[in-house]
Amino acid sequence: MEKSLNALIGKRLKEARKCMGLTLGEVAEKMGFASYQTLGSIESGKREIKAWELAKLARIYYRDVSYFLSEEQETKSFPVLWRTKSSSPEVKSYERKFVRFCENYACMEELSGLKPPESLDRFKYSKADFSFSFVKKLAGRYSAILQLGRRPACSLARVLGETFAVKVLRLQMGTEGSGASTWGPFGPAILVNADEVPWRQNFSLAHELFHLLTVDVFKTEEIYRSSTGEKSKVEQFADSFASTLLLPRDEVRQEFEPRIRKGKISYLDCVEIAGKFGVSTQALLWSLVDLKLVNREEARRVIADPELRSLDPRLPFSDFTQVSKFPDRYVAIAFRCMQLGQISRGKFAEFMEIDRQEIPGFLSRYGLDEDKDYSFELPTRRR
Amino acid sequence: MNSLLVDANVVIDAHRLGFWQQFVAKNQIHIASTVLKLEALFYFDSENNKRSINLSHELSKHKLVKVRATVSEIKDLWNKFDLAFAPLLDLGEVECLTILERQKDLKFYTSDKAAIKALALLGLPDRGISLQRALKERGLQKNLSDKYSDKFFKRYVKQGQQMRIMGQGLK
Repeated sequence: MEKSLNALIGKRLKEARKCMGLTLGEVAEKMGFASYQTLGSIESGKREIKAWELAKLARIYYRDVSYFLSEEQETKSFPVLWRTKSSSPEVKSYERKFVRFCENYACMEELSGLKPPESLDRFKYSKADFSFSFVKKLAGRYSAILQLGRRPACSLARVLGETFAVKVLRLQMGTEGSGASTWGPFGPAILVNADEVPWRQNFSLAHELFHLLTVDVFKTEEIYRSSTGEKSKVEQFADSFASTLLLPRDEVRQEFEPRIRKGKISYLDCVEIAGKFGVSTQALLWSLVDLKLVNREEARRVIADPELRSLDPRLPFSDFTQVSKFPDRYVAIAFRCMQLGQISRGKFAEFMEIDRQEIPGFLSRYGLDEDKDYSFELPTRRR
Repeated sequence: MNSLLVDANVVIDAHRLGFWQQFVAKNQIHIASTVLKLEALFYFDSENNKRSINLSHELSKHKLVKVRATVSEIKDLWNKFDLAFAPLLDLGEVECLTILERQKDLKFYTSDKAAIKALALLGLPDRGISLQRALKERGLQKNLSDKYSDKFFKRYVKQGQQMRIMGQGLK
């Protein structure tokens, strides 16, 4: 029994380490082991692992401890769609963190019984149906379904999470891409690079939404950039979808037309309008071309001007405030589970990726207090 | 002397509230390896300064007892729970419950709602103790918040017992 359990744990540990793209030496160092051989003998089932070592390795590998103890095979794998093919350890690590977040989120939705009312419908169209005009029509239709209002970027993440069960994680990923998406056993999910400027994050969210909706239409390989770095057709469709979704035609026209003076509009106005819609000036300009309000050549010239482009991030016209890594809904459900004794404080801390000592400070940022009694129940007139 | 098994929250809170020394002097405290190695490493004082928790002196003087459960024992305990319904605990808490099942002389002191519920779910409600009671039995009186009270402890024991009666939480 002991031997077979050691072998099982060792096998799982090895799988988890490989999945993160880490070497024995790297993990041994994180664990504080004197040599990599200690970890090697645990992985080969020769040395019994201690409970605290298992807990620490589970943290390093972003896995639940039960994964290492279960004889059952992991459920069928599902691809995480990135825009560029990469097998770097960093990307593997972000991917694992992303999946772990989604698993935790789904677990708490299950525990709390709080599942979003609707789900996204994957597109059933064939590949041949897709053209830029078709994609724009789809975006227009989706804008109505999602009821994003006049400034879609301001509400997109919240609507996707609260109404359509899309799990959105914002992770600091440096230069490892703008985002990714997946459709796992936990439902649809989007990963956004929190290191990018706010308008870029909005665009990524809308862009990844297209990939979620078309997950049954295009193959993973069709999304990747070419070896010369050019965007694939699918990526161009995703950009077009994002642009149309975030820049509703009538709203853009309403903002744009009153600012025209003697057939011209100042660049400052463009930057301001882009800020209002939570998109880049570049995205706005292409939308203006599409609306036939600006010539394509003029837009190209402006976009290519580095001095004008450098104005973008300097002007804080956007209402966008710094958003947190986890959606508010995720934190609220976890808090609820902790308050009702469905998850322990230690588990709450694990889900929020903090130490348990940091829980009071973390909660105070959300106006919550774990020492308050929230158990009061209000009688309703419905059974 | 009470033989108490404490979870990480207790070690941290006792340091934060400044009664750890008295607590150790008046009880035989046991700490699980995961709590000791990973979880109870620091606390924030009243001015929010990070202070490290160093228990090596107390361990060397045998004022504290380090206890551990094997992963095989932990797995056996884990297998008793129906994970779709049971409270979710971290490994430190599961190790504590595993040790508690094995060492019948220990009482588990925790103020964690989920851990108290799990204790009752396993049919061990009498093996748990609230801080208020633990201190009272040793003649220590403290002005404590609700989560350390006997009333709070009993409320979550009751919830765990109800789950057990309704056939929820265990396989």
